[in-house]
Amino acid sequence: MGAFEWCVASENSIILYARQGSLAQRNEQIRLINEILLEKNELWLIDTVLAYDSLLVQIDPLQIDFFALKQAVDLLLDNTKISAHARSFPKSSETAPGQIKILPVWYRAPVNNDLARVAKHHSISVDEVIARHTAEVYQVYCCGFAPGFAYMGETDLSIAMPRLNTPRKKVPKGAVAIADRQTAIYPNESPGGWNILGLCPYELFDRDSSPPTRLNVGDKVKFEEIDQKQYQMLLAKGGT
Amino acid sequence: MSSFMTVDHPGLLSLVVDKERLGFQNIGISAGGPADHYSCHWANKLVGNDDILPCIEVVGDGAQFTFSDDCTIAITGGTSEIRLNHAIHPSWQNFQIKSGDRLQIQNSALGIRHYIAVCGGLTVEPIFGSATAVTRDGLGGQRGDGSAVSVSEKLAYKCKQFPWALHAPKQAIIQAHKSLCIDLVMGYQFDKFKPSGRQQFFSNNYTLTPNSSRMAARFAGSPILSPSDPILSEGIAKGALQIPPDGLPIVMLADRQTVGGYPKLGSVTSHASDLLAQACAGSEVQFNPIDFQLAHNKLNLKHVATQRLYSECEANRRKAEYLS
Repeated sequence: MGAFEWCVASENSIILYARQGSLAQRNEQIRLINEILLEKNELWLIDTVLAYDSLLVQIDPLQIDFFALKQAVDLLLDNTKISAHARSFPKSSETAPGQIKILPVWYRAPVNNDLARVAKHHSISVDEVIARHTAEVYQVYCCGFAPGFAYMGETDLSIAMPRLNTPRKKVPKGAVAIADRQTAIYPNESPGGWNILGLCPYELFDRDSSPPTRLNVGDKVKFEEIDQKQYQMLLAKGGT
Repeated sequence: MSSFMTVDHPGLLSLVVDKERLGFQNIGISAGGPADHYSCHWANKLVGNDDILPCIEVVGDGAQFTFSDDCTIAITGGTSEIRLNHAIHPSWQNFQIKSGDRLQIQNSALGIRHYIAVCGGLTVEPIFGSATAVTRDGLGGQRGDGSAVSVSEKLAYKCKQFPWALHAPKQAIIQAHKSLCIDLVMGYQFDKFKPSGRQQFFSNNYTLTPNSSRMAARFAGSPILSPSDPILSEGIAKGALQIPPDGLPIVMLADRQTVGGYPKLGSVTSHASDLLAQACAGSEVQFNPIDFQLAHNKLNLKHVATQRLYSECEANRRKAEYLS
């Protein structure tokens, strides 16, 4: 199997997959392809959607046909293999390499909290769940679901949790949650099926900021435990 | 003081729509845009707007608006009749509006969504490149927060007139179908589905359910087996056809989320998305597998046909002008 594969997604899009290496490496390769594509800015390119190890490429079908597209993509993927080593990352995000964004979390916040259930599921204490969630440095692999929602991974296997059988109709704004080996923060109140561990006082999406999202693909992130008082203080400061 | 249309009644749901919000799907912002792109484009064309400008998408019966100043409007989409003051007119043509005129959308025989375009477009502040309202994202629309149009709200427009009478040729007007044949471009995880499951899928009839929306068309029918291997969440194209664990198809439409992790058989064509956006609950749907090349051929032919209809519409206008 080659390093990359691609297939048709719709009448006006194809999807590229990185197939070799760890998830972090695959994500890096996909980000590289995305940057090359956006840099080239061909007439036929409409938009891209970057995810864990895939890139959805939306084209203008009145500007390019299947055969020309196939040629363009094959060429792109060849070039990517060559230049993959020559480039440094991340570029798309504000974090300099090695810099870690710290996100404060009020664990045990009394809001539909699943901490106890996670602890019971793995036969460990609640303190241990928090310790394991805060120990890891996570990477943002994908932004989606809602504006500002960042999929981060991967959590320690010992706190990995399946999604809720029935998603909640309302997950509070700022809820820090886990599902499988992913963790994320709900930027706004929304329905959701992830297991809630606590609350983060930060705004994750501000339409007037540039970039409007606090977390961007490629960012390195670490969670830090705060208490209710600190949480309320940070929240009062406008979550910045 | 600017000109505005006052919302006397928003019908079942009225939203400001505009061209798709592109370039921000990578940070989780949905594309949105008109649910029935074809009808929306025609409404704009009939008032002399070259491209889609901010206009109103109305669902259901009974929407009513009053205009403060002269302007040119056109109504397309599903509605067959509209009431201007007290006179009944066919849709898919433009009207010269006088100050104080009242517009009412009548019962829809052809489809559930109607488009009201104004010459020069509604004056709505774009956000992330488009004024289109996406309620789930809390972006766009008159108030900028994705909310629907509500009673007594005032929608501003430029007091601009398009002086020529235009009506869409008969072949351009969308038709009502209680049973639809929907082209599905095979793609995504198509090969991961069992051949027997795929065969079953394409021979089944599905019924469009009432909990369909601008986000997705949902179906009832006999379930098929979805591949059991989990996949990592990936970008969702417009029209993507997902098979969640319950085995029933969901077609992702304008307000779809940007990424998702359900296996997909491919995506329905843009023409099919327009048809689904107009179909009422209870419509019977059968899916027809096509490949990328055939989809492109169909799309190009459709594009050429639409361009020809636009020209015909223009030519009719010039002929009428000459004869008068």
